[in-house]
Amino acid sequence: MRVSRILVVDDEPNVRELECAVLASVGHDAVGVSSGDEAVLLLDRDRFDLVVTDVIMPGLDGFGLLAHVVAHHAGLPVLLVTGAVDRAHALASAQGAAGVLYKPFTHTELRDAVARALED
Amino acid sequence: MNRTSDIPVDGDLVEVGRLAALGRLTPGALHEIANPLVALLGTAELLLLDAERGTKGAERLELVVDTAREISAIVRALQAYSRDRAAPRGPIALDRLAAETVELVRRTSAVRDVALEEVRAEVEVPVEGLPGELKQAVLTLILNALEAQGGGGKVTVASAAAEGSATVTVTGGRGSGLGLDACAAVARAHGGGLEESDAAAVLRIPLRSAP
Repeated sequence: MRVSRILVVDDEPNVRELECAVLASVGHDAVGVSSGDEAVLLLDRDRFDLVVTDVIMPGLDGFGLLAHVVAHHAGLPVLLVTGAVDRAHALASAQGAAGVLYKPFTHTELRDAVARALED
Repeated sequence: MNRTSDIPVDGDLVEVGRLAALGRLTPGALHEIANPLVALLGTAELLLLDAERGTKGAERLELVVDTAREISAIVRALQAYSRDRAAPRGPIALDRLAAETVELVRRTSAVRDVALEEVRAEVEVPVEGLPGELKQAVLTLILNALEAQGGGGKVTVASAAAEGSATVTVTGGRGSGLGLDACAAVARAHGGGLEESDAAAVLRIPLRSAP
């Protein structure tokens, strides 16, 4: 498996740390930040192969971050992760996300969703 | 608008209002449950990877993982139901919708002493409509039938297609009948109807013709 550099964005520290740990367990280099605004700053000065972001966050939310990536980092895939029960999937597809993963998820589901997003 | 009135408050309306309020709270509650559940399940899975197989500790961790997965399945069933509520009008497989509704009830109903049996059509049953409304109608029929059966009974949910109609037949009774008027309205809005007897209710919707 190719090692990828993945930016994990979630305001919930437990979820963020867990996602980083699961991705690290399969050899990825995962970096966690707690907000969309932090992610924007980091994306401007560092290189990533994938962004895995929560949708509902204070400040710049997941859809805002997705719009920023589409506008300023063309080709960088974004996987949205959400526990919300709205129509995130349809919205995300329309706005260019590589996929949507619904919480709660298992390790396998996270790893599979990340692998699919990296393949696209 | 002044809503003050001397007219006595209708108990059914109060109940409908209470249930509607509960429904509006549910998506937020599911979101708030999902985050800690991810942390709980994920951390237990990570610990299990490191645990020595066959030890008491590993067995206990497996119990935690299995239990968290059970809770996840309940949350997902409720999430799917809540998502359907906002879904737009479009093609639907009525047999799958009925099966998902049965799964939702199995995951969430406190009724444990009534057998809930699903008889799914052998081929897909295509209709056109609003998935949220149709699922609500099927759910209402099932909940009423479960209520009617009481302890030790059986409720059957069967999907079928015949003579231009798609049907979901719920056998078991009508219980309090709460929500059946809304069921009938949903069926009519989809060009069909609701046929009721003491033993069964049949939700009938026109089959979608091939494009």
